[in-house]
Amino acid sequence: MARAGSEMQPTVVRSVVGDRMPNLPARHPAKPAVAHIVNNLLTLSLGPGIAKSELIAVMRQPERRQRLIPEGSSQEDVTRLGKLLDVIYNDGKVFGSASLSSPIFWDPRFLAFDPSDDGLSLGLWTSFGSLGQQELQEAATEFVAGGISAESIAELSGRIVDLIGTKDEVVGTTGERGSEPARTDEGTPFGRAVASILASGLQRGASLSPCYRSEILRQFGVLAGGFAILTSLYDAIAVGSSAVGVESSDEEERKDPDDALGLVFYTGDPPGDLDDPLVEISIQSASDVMHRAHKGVSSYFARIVQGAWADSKDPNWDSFCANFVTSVTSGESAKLLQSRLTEVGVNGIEGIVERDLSFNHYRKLVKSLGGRTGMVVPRKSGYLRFVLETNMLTALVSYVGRPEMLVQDFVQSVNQRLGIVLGVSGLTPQTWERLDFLAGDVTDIENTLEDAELLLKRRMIQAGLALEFSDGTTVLRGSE
Amino acid sequence: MSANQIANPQLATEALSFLQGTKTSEAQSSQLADALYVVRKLGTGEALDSYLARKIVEGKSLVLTGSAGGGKTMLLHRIQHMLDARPDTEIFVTYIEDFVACGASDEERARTLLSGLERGPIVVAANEGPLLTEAVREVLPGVVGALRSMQSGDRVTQEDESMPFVVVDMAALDPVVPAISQLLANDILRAAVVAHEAQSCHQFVELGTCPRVEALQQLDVEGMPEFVEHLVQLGTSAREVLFRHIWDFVADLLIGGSCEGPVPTSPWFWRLFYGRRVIADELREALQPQFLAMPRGLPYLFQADWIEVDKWQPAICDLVVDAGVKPAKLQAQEAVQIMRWYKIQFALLMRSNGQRLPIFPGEEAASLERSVTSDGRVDRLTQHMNAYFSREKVTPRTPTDLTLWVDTALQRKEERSKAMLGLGTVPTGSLELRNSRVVSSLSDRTAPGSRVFLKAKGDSRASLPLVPRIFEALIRGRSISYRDGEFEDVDYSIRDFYLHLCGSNLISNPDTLRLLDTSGDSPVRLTWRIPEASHIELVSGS
Repeated sequence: MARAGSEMQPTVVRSVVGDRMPNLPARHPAKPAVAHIVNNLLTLSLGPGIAKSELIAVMRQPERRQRLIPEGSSQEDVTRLGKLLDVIYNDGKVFGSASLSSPIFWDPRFLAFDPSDDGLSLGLWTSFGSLGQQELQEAATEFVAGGISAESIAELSGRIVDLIGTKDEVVGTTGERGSEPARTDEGTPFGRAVASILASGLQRGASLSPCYRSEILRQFGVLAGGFAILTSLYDAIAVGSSAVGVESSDEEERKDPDDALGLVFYTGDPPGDLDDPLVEISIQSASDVMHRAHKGVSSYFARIVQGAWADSKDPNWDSFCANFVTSVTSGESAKLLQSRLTEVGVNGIEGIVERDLSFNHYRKLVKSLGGRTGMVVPRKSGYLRFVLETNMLTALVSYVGRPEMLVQDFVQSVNQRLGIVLGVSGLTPQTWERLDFLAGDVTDIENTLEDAELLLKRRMIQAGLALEFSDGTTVLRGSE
Repeated sequence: MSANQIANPQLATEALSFLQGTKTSEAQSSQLADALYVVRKLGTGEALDSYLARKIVEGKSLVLTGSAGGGKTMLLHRIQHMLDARPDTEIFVTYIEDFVACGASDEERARTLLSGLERGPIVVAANEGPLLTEAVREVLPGVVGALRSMQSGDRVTQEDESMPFVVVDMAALDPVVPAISQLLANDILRAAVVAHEAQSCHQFVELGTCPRVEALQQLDVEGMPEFVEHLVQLGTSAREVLFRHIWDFVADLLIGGSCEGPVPTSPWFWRLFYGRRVIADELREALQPQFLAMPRGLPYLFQADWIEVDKWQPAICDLVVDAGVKPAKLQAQEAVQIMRWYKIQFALLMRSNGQRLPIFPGEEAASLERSVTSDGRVDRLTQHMNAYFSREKVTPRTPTDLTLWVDTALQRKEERSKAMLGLGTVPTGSLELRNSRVVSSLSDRTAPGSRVFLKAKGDSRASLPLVPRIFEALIRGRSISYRDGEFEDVDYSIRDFYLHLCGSNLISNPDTLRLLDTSGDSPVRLTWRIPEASHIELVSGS
C-alpha cells in the first residue's frame, strides 16, 4: 500500500468532492496566475490555435527572432525585439517550454492549454455547465471575430504566425478544445451566473473598437481569476450546507449567492486603515466566509464517505476503502486516498481534509490569486480582506454595470449575482443577520455599509466610471 | 447700482440682515434680489436670464437643475420678474420652485408637470434624482439625455435645439466667476458694511472710519476683484462650490471679524485666507500665504517705516491700510501675524497693479490646470501626459503629440511596469478641449460649464474628464509602486482614453509599435515599423 507521508496531498480531498467543488486548491495554491486562467478559459472557449509554440520560440530563442527582422541586423536589435515581444506578450508567464507558458492573449492562434493553473480554469469551466459553456463559446467567438488588438499588434502577430511556414493550417483555430470535460454537465448555480456575466461582457465588448477590446479581455482575465475564487467559496458553502448528499439538491439550486457568501468588500482605497470599521468588518467577513467554505469541504467529504460506508454491504472498513477509492478516482490518487482512509478509520474522516487541504492551504489560494486579480489584500502578511483595487473595480463595472445604471442598482446587482456586499442595497435578511452578528459591538453595520456605498461611489466618480449629478444621484458611464 | 438705491438706507439695512441671516433667495425682497443678482453673460453677450426669458416667450419650457443652494430658485424668480415686467407679453407660465414638493409620488409630480404643460410653458427647478424616474421621463422626454450630454461635454445637436425644453444645469455654472467680482463691487453691499460698522465698530463710530471700511477701497483698484476671483478659483478647484458657499464667503469677507486689537481681523484681505469659512480654509491651504516672499520691503514694514515703503511701492502705498502699530514693538507671535497681515495686503495690491511678484506659493502648482482649462493649452497638457509616463521633466523639447503608452500587464503586481507599449501617436491638433454646457440649446462656447474634457475631434467616445486629480498626478509624477495606490484611478482614466483614441483612426502612424523602458537612469524609447509584407524594422532607438 502506498504511504502518503506527511506532505499535504489536496488530491485526496479533490478526488472525492471535486465533482461538486471543482475549484479547490491543488498542491501549489500560490502558482495559478491571471494569465493562466484567461489563456485556458479562452482555449476551452475557442479551441487551441496552432502558433503558440512558434510565439514562445520567437520570444525565447534569439535565432528564431532573427527571422523577423532584416538580414544583417545587429545582435542588439535582436535583443531589443525580444524586449518588445516581452512587453506585448509576456505577463511573466512565458517560459522556455511552450506547453507551460501562457502568453498574453492577442490572437486566437496563440492559444493552447497550460496546466500551470492547477486545474482552476477547468474547474471554473466545469462549474459553468454545458449551457454556460456554450454561452461563453458563442460570445468569445463573436468577440474575437472582429479583431482584438491594435492594427500594429495584429500585424506583428501575423508575421510570427507566418514563420511557421504552413500557411494552409493557419486558418485561425482548430475545432478541438483540448481536455474539455463532458458538455452534459449541469455545472453549479454560481458557475452558471459567472458564465453569464463573462459572456455578456464579451458580447457588449464586441461592439467596441478592436483596440479597446484588448481592455475588455484584460478585464475578462481579472474577473475570471476573481470568479475562480468566489466560485470555489460558493460551491464549498452551498454544497457543504445542503441537506442531502451527493446529488445536487433543490435547496442548493436555490442557494442565493448573497445567502451563501454575503462577502463584504472594503470599498475604499485599498488596503484601508485597520482602525476603519469597514476594514474590520471586511476582515471578519473574509474570515467567516473562508471558514464556512473550508468547513463545507470537510463536511461534504465526510458525508460522501460516510454515506457510501452506510450504503455498503461490506462490514470491513479496509476492504470498503479499497472499493470506495476506485469508485471515485484511480492511480496514484486512489492509493493516497485509500492510505488516508484506512489510517484515520471511520471516525476520523473529517480530519483528512484538515490534513490534506488545510484551512491555511485554502487561504493561500485566496490570498495569492486574489492579490493578483486586485481582489484581496494584503499581498504579504496581515489580515486578509476582500477589496476592489482599481483594476478589479473597472472590470466589475464594465461586466456587471450598464450605462446610466444607478450606483445603488449596481451594488444590488453585484450582490444578487455574486454575493458580494458593497453596500446596503439588496442584502437578504440572512446576510443582514450574519453581518450584524459579525459586527458585534465593533460598529453599527447599517451605518458602516452605508459608508461603504458612499466610498464606492466616490471612487467610481474619481476613476471616471460614474457620473454624479449635483444632487448626489450617481449613474454609471459605461464604455458603449 | 443707481444712486437712489445707494441712498436707500432701508435697502442697505435689508442687505445687512441678509448677510447676517440664512442668505437664501426666499429671504430677499424682490428689490434686493434685483440689486444683488449676479448677471451671467453668454458668449454672445446676451445675459443668461434674458436668453431664457426669450425662450419662454418663444414657447419653450425650462428645466433648471442643480444642487440645493446652486441658484435655481434665484434664477427662477429672476425670470418670473422679467416676464411679469413685460406688459407686451401675454403668456401663461407655470412656475414650480421645488419639484419634489409638488407631489407626493413620482406619478403625482409627473401629473403636476403635465397639467402645467397643458396650459403653456413651465419653469421647474429640480434636482436630477427625481427627473430620472420613468414617470417623469415620459412627461419630460429628452431632458435626462440632454442633461447627460451637457455634463459629458458633448456637442449641441439639432435635437437639443429643437426640444420643447431648455435644460439649464446650474451645477455647471462657474460659481466664482463673475460672482465674486460683482458682489465685491456691489454698492448696496458696501452700504451694508458701513451700516454694520455704524452699529458695532467703536473706531468707526468715533473716527468715521476703521480698517474694515478703509480696506474696502482696495477693492476699487482696477483688476483687484478679478485677481481675488482668480485666487478663489485656484484655491477651490478641487471641490464643488455652490452659490450658497459663495454668499457665505462674501458675507464673511465683508462683515466677519473685528477691527479691535493690534491685528484687526476685519479687513477683507485678511478674511480671504483667515476668515471663518471653508473657502478661506481652502485658499489658505492651497495658496499658502504664510510663505509669501517679499524680501525688499519686509524690513521697512517691520519698522513701520512708511517713508521707505512709499519709495519702494509708490503706486500702491496710499491704499495700504495701516494697523497703527509697529511690528518691531510687538510680541513675537503678534509681530508674525501683523507682518503676514501686511504681506497679504501688499501681495494683493502689487499683483492687481500688474506686478509679476510676489507669487503665492500654491499658484505654481495650480498653474498647469489654469493654463489648460482657462487658456486652452492642449499642448501643455499633452506634454505633461507624455512626461508622466516617461517619468521625465517637461521641457520645451517634450513632444506635444500624444504618445499612447499603455501597460499591457494582466495581473496586479507590487510595482507598476517599467516597460510600456506605445500604440501610436495622436497629433495634438486632433485633440480639443471642450467644456460641459450650461444650457442644452447652446454650445459650450456660448454657455460654457465648469467641467472640462480632453476629447478627440470627431470621436465622442475618447473623452478624458480633466478633474483636479489628473493635474495633481501629472505634477506629482507617476509613482513606481502600487503600494499606496495613489492616483491609480487617474492611470486608469488615462488608459481608457488612450484605448479609445487608439481605435479612433486618429493615430498618425498605425503601422508602428513603440517601447518605452524606464528601468534605467534615463528612459529608452524604441520604435518599430511593420511595413506590409516585409520584415519588422527598428526605426529609431534612444
